Amino acid sequence: MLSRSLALVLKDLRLYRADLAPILIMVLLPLGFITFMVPVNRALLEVRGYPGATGAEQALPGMMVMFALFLLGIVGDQFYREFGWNTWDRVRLAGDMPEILVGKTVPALAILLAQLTVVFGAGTLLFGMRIAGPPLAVVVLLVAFALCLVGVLVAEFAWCKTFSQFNALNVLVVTVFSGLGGAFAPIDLLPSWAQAAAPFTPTFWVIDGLRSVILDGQGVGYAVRMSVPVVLFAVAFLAVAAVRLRPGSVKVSDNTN
Amino acid sequence: MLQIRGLRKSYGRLQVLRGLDLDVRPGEICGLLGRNGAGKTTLVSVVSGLLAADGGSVRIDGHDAFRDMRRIRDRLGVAPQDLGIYPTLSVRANLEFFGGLNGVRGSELRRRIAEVAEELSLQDLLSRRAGTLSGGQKRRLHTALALLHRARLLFLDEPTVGADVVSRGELLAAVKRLAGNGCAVVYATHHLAEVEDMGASVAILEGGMIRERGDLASVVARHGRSTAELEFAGEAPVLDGWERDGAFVRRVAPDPARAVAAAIASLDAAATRLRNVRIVPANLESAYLAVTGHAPDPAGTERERADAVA
Repeated sequence: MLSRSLALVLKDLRLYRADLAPILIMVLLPLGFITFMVPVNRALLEVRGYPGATGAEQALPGMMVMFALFLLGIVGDQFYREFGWNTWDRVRLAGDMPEILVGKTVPALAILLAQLTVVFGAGTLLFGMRIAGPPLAVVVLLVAFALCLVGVLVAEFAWCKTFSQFNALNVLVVTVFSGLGGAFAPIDLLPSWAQAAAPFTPTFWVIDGLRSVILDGQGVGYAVRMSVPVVLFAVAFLAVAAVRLRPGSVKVSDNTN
Repeated sequence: MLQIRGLRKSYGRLQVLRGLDLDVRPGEICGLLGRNGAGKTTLVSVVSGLLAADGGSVRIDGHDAFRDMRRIRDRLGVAPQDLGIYPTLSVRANLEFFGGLNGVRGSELRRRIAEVAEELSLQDLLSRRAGTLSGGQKRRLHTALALLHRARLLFLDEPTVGADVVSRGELLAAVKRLAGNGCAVVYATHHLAEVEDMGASVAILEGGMIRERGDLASVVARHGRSTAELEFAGEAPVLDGWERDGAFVRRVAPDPARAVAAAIASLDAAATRLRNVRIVPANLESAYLAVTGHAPDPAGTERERADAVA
């Protein structure tokens, strides 16, 4: 099983490498957006008792989470292209569904983790953000969120027959998870119904966890506790995928290039 | 090598395979004939495990294909009808991936890539992006991907579609070499000449079942008909027992030379307008026509027919 999955992993990494531009754009875009959001967030944080804050402490986690969700649209294309290229059936001839899914999701996980790491790292350096808590706490939250993103990806793929449907659903997911999760504004400034709904999104736990580690110096134990619901969301999404996805499922890609 | 008994498969209300039986021996090329929509692709998909059968059994190399597909996977090679390659990867990367996927690695993989590339004239294309290849080159790569792991049972579903004359010749030669090495090949096509060129055995699929099965010579001997044809300057005359078609008259006859002689003897003034005499010996096309009642023309895929029913 491992050798087939490994062959798939290496092949997908080659495919990503052959078309890196969209991924790089998803790395640069959040950094650009943060630039616009930093001043207002600095003012907000000063009012809230963080006089030395740069504003990135508030903006960076939100934008990073939102554009990681946007990146699912590009990573998902790699799943649907297998149908456009008629290679899905050829792959199925050699392997079972679990082998194929492992082979497809591990590179996706690697790409998502890389994007989260680069955006967080570059954002920290570019905007002079100080992290009050231990870096390991940040790592715990980023890994948990990357796993959750893979769960969302597989569930969306299982649910949608065409890439257009997948893309539309993903934009919906980006909007809802980013808005309710507090990517645009702190949760306590959202409408009351949104505040009540926020904990039912994985992004709420990730963004809140990251801000608490960055601003309040929360530790690894806290990050692990905040990661538990995120991982549970991942499991729930994967369960949806397991119910929906069949070996003979036929998908339609808009892209044959 | 391949034993199929009572295989059934439906798409909704449309029965595509209706209790199909087929045996293919090691070293045999079985030309699976039938018009588009007859069920050739469905048969290949069911036997290779891509589609679930509704009933019947398939044994490959003595193993139950429906239960032991994991065990026999490496003995199967399939080149589906639709071109399946990664256009953004190089030819070599495509070959490396499918070799690795089928458990071929390291120096063995490099050796087999070199062998397959030579066999299908891909040596000079290995570093090219697959998407930049011509139609025939893509088809050769598509077929090469199924040959890398030296399968003992090979399914080639219309492998020469879109291939030029040279590519077609190379593919047919490669198939013959594989069979010569003991590989059983199921070669689905509606190009009857390819089956004749390879001296393959014949399985005619019609109405979801194998209607005729045997070696080429015996199928042609059983069902083939010789045809005599006379061509005239201007409109052909009416001749008793001959079918008139513009300047031509044609007749299926067991002894076409005698029929031609009799026809010429019966010509009066029209004899001066006779321009050409042609005798077409019994061949696979006439046998196919006799068995199925129609020429092997495209008539939509079985999935399209299924969609139409749905």
